[in-house]
Amino acid sequence: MLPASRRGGSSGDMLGVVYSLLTVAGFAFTYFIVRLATQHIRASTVTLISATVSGIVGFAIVAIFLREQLLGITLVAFGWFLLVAFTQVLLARYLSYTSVHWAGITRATPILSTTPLFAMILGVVFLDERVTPLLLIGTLAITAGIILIVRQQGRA
Amino acid sequence: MRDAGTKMVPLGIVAALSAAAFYAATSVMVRIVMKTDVHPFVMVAFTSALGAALLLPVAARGLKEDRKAPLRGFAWAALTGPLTLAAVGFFYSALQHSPVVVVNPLVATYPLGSILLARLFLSRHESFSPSVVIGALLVVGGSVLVSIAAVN
Repeated sequence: MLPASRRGGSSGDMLGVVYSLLTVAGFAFTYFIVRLATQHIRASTVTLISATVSGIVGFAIVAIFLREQLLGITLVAFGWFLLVAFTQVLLARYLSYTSVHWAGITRATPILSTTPLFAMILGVVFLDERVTPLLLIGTLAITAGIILIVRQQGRA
Repeated sequence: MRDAGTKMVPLGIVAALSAAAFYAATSVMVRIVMKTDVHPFVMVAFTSALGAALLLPVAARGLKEDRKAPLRGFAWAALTGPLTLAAVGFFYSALQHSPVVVVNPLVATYPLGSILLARLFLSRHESFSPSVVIGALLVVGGSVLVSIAAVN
């Protein structure tokens, strides 16, 4: 589980970039397919099926490769899983799939990618993290982008 | 075909902003859980299954009405399960091999991939006006900058 930088060598870093690009492809295809699915069924149904299949495939992988981890789950960890499930699946995933259906991929996915901004806001408000010039420029760019996306709708 | 229509776009934007905020809150919780040596896949399996159970009462009514919908809608929905799982798995693998400063800004560009796919295959259903495209580029670029600022 050590980062490549600690394992040494740029081949590890290159592998990290390849995995990052595969992540990009994975999320890009996911939202594209969500758009296809919501043309036929409700976003709530898509989210339910998506989470159920993720759970089944996830448990199959864990049962085959990480069985000993299952036995070590504590009650506290289970409580965290429940909290994460509530915010990640019931709120975030359901709302994100709904937004793709209502606003379309072109408008919704860039806004969904503003998660780092909200994470930074949480950090500044609750953890006294500093506001840097780079953060300000990024925030301004995001705000300008959202205004452009929303204004286009106003003219439609 | 169930297209939402332009009247729903403002609500869709509010939903997207809310989702982004909830994903941010989730990422804080996930960081806490990961400190307890729980494997990412164990967490994803549990949270997906528990999330589906929590969502069932909310989705039940719509599910009944969707029963007569074309089968391909359900097939597409099912495909998003393993795709999400793969994306999350690749993300954690990327973090194992490269620093966050490299991984997060790269991952923040995923909307460009979605937009490209939509441009290629859904051009009749999506808006590709210059202001939407420039707005999307600004938001993605801004997110990349915020990701870099976050790890610096």
